[in-house]
Amino acid sequence: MKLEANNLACGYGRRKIIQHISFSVASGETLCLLGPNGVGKTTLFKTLLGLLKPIEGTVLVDGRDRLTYSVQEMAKLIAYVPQAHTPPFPFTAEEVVALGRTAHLGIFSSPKKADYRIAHEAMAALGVTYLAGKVYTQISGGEQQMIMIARALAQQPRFLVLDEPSSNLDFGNQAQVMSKINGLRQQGMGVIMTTHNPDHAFMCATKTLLILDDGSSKSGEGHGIITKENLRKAYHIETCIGYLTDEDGARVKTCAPLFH
Amino acid sequence: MKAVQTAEPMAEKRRARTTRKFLLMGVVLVCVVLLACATGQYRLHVREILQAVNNRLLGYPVADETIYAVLFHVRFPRILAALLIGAGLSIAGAAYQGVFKNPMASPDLLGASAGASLGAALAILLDLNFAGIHIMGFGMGILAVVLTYAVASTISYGGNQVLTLVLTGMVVGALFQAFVSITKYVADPYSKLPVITFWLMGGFASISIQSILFMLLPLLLGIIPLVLLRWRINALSFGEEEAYTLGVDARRIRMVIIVCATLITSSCVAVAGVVGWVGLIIPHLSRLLMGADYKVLLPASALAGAAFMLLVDTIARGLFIIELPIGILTSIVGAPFFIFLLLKGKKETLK
Repeated sequence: MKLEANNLACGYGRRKIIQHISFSVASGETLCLLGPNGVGKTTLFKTLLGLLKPIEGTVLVDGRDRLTYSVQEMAKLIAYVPQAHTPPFPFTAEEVVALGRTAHLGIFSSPKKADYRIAHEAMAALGVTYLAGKVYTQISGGEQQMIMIARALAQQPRFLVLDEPSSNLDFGNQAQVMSKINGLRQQGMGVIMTTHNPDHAFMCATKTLLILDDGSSKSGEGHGIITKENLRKAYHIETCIGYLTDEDGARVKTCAPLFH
Repeated sequence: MKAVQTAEPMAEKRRARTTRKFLLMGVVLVCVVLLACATGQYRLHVREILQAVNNRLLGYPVADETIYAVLFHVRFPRILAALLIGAGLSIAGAAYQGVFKNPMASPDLLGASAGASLGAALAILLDLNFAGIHIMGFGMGILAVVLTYAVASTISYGGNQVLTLVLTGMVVGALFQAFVSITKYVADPYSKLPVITFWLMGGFASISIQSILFMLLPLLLGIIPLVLLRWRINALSFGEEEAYTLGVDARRIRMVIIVCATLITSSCVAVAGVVGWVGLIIPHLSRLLMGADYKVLLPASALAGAAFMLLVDTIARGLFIIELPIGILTSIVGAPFFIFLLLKGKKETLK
């Protein structure tokens, strides 16, 4: 399956916030979306998810215009993982994950036994089955994020769209989430995620889209476009990018800001 | 996969517990109905009630004319009305709380009660009969919400519809309340004003079988879709955008729910006057008892709302020699009860 954006311009009403965006992501690929605050990442996301109509250009899902899919059809193909937030009611984590089954249900039906089984499998895949009976509003931010991802998996989509999946997470949970996302991609899931941390692109990205602060963008295979020069254009800071090798021989690519 | 197997019985256990709670609520409801049948100027014994119902069902001749008349012509219509209105307002309130993502939402949020009040007050001013009051009340209740929805849709084109709806609802509600005040102001203080005032306080005393038949259709037209759509309300309570990505056409479903809740609230207020608090506290209580899942919450709210309304009505007519207006009683019971629920909720959260 393939998700493509062709010369996309997005915004509210007639006002373009972001334009000339083109990329394509296939199953088994991860597109990391980086860019400074306020540059229109959320607007782009909303357009990809169909919450906003593109002002120009098209979003194609498997070659077909996104706008021709019904809400329910779309939810079976693309699942959205929002930043964890607190709903007004004390749902259990199991109920939240079961909500992922909604697209597969008739309009008047509720989840059946088989749906709850799928929900539990999604939690098991992320190692959070122990949360099932807990009240979602009372678990930690990291656990909430895991439940949100589990809900998206219960949707059994072909694509995951994640909005800063690592924000509000501690160091360990960030690594956990990134490694789960990598695992899902290796199983054939297509992934699009935004992040504020270039390191996350080094960890996961098979493609990168960097939006600069003038609204133009750079995209490329792997994480090759994350260079000092491009980061300077996007964030107006100096960075140090290089490989880190520890005494056990483990080697990672990383990026850190430089102060003058 | 082992985790999956151990997880399964947990969901099963919860389901069994939910069934038990529903049974318990059913028993409570039956007890309240029996109490309501027995209570009143003419006291009845449970044995007499059961016997009269039994005879009626089996088609035996009426043994005691008085018991028959009291039960079938006086108490049953009133009991039925209280049950229907209690269940209706609670379901509407629960649905609104989900749609507006706010546990403080109540069925009069978009102005249905204020509109229906104005309709009824005008009908009384114009000397219309009961049917006139019902029709005017019902019509104006719907009109108020249509006005709210239309204004909010114009303002919030493409933006945050929920917040705009709530604010517009407040404005429209206040406007219709002002018209109610004008109606009262111009009403004859010796004949019309007291009637309007008492009617607005709410009550089941004047409810006839005809009133019940009048509200039955809009009530069922409102309740049935809400019950059928209840799983989708779960998705809506996570917000429009998330609901959309979960496969729920949020705007359309929200509109259906608003239409349903408006049918319910307008018909209830048109028939029984303003009975506050029920649509706010019963969903809260049900949530504490049964959890937040609308799949369970909505039927539970209906049962609890029916029982609560009937109990309060029984107290209203049984406590003193003169009957208390039910709207006053639900507020007196409701306000402290709500504080109790909030305290309990806080304790649960701290735990």
